[in-house]
Amino acid sequence: MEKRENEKLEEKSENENEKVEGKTRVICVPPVGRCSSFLCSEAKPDAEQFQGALRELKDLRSQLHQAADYCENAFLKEERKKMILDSTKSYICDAIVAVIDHLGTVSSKLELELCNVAKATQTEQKMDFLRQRLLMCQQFAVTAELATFRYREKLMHHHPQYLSDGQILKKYNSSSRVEEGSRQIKDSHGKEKFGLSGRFQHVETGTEHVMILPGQHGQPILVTPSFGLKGTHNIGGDDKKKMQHNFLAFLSKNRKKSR
Amino acid sequence: MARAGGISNPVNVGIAVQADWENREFISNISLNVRRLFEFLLQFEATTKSKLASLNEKLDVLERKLEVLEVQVSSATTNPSVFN
Repeated sequence: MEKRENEKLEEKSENENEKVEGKTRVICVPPVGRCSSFLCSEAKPDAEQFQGALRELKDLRSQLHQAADYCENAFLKEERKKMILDSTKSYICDAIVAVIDHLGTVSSKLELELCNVAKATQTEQKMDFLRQRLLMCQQFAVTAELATFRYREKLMHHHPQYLSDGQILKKYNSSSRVEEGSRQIKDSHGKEKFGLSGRFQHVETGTEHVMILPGQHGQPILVTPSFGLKGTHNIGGDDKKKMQHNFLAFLSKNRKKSR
Repeated sequence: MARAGGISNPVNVGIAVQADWENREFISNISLNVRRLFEFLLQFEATTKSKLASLNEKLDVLERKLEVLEVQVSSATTNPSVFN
């Protein structure tokens, strides 16, 4: 198509030369080629089609400029101005139609490319899948690590120093808090003065915490936070005082630790 | 003859005026269509700009997500103890 148009332009220039020589001719301004690129390049990809249509539009602009210059020169030099005017009018109509056609193809190609966002959505989906996988791996690793924390072949052992002959409770109730183990309170000389064996059990009875301690002969001793000993167990005078003193010291230590 | 010349003159003038009016009408039609074409181009440019801006935003978001994923994967491969 471009070759044909170039040939036609060459014909125009030849015509001008002929006029210069004195011959009069009917100027036939060839119509602008209405080449729509839509049918020609269906097999090409969208980007190439858009580029091709844009290139054709630019070529059309240059052709229109050349045709306008030619028509102006011919009108000024030629005597039959009416004929030139009529031919110029028909050429303008065809040129406008061609321009609209080319603009339509360019705009349609560009819109198609902009609407074709499937690649972006696909990549977005792929990235979401990758993120899900990573999260799953993280969760799996965390759960696996937690499992190692929960299960232990070796149970917790208390230091034999603090173990007693009594039973060691293992259950933890939601309503009561049981502390296992026992303590042996020793005096400054290192001798065992009084052993609190068995279990400590803190029972929350409303607002009061009550400690249950096993006595020496198996009878329980109730101890309140006010450190008053309650029970029917009779203990000897000095031993009793020493026992109280040791127990109070032990409780004060526990208090300090809890604070 | 003079009358003929006098009659022909207004006829010629009338014909010339008519031709002139036709030319002017043609020119006005052409200019109107060119302006419509220009308006279409402006509208097309605005819509294309907005579409391109939205596409650019999407691509930016995708790029950031990709960077985050790259960092996470690299940290997981280099320091597997992160998950332990």
